[in-house]
Amino acid sequence: MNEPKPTPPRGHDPVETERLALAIKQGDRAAESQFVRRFTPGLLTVLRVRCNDEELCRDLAQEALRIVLLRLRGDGLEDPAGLAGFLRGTALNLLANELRRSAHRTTETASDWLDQAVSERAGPYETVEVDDLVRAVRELISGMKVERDRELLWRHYVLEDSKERLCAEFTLSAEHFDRVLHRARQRLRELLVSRGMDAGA
Amino acid sequence: MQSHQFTSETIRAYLDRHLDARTEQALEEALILDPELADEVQAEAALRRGFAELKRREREAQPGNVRSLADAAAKRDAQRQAARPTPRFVRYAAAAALFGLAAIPSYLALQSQRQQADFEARLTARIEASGSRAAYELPASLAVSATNTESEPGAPVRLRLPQDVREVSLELPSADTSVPTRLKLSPFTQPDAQITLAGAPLADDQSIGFRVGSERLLPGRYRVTVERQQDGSWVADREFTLNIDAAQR
Repeated sequence: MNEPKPTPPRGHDPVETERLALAIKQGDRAAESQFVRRFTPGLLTVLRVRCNDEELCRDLAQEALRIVLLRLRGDGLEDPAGLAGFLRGTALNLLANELRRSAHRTTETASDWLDQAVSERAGPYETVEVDDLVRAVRELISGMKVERDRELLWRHYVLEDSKERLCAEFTLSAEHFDRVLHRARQRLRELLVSRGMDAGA
Repeated sequence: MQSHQFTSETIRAYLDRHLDARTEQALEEALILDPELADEVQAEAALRRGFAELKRREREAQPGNVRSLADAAAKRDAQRQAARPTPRFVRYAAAAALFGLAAIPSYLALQSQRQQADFEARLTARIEASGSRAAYELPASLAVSATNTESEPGAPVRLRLPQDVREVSLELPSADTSVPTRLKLSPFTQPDAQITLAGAPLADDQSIGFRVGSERLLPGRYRVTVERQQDGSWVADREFTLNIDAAQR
């Protein structure tokens, strides 16, 4: 599939990223924490797509963030707008090295705060047990008020009917189809997070 | 509202690792910068895992013990087709549907098309008022896409011709009944004896019907291909295997 290079996400502020990089260079610890909180979820996503080992993904994400933090503290980046690309490249290089070595990387004790920060931002998806996930999916389906939407989800994810076929059959626009899936993902997240909160209560 | 411009299709392709390198890089840099997008991707992955596990478990469950979405779809279809003289069977069957029942057994309903090899859809005719014509409704989901190369042509579909029926109508749901469509039946034992039937929109404008004299449908196994016209050429759209039993008494 080929798509034109998309414009930056609407939620991204290049000025904010530059400000963050500058603050880190000036030794602002709060900015470093913000940096880790902000970029951990995306970095983990990039790694998880390529690696099934959750623990390894977290270790590599932590290491990539550490490497980039050291860079930002020191020489900094020539172009702060390239921060995401630098993070991605660093993480993927680490993963490639790790896969070549097939050895588990150990983290430095000085990165305990980093370790904790990465774990806190890991999200609910990878830590949820399979049983809980299935329960959440069932609850998601049963909670959908529009029967057509339930059928759409089922046929798309279970029967693997294509989006084109489903849109034609249900007379839906592509945007409408995307909205149904988007709402389902949001609802699943709510269900998983609520389970996590309940488990910790 | 989403803060990003990536479609569900793109996210799905990303998780399948089907994006080209440039688009993949752009998406990944975007999700690094945008935690909301990262969360969306993770949620999509979780949905896939959850549904895959759900499907696996329900397939292993006892028949009838599991509430099925197909049952809900069956109810919807029955309500919509209330004017018809006989109950309409579930259009949503993934594999084999025992035709003639109001709802299909859920363990059969939840089979994906790729699991259909062991099951067979048994169709019961809707006998028209005159008694000489039998119409069989073929769920679109029973017939796999002709482009799906991972499985052999479709789930077997079995029908038995009622006695005294002179004409058979095979009805297939269609999103666009104005597109010229034809159905080809090729006996497995005699591929040269292929029968080609032209499709005609039915009165409800939601299905296409293919009529054939019953004397031409000899008992046996057929490879059935549904073709539609596209840019002046016939393009294979769906295909399945049809087993025809001898006429019942």
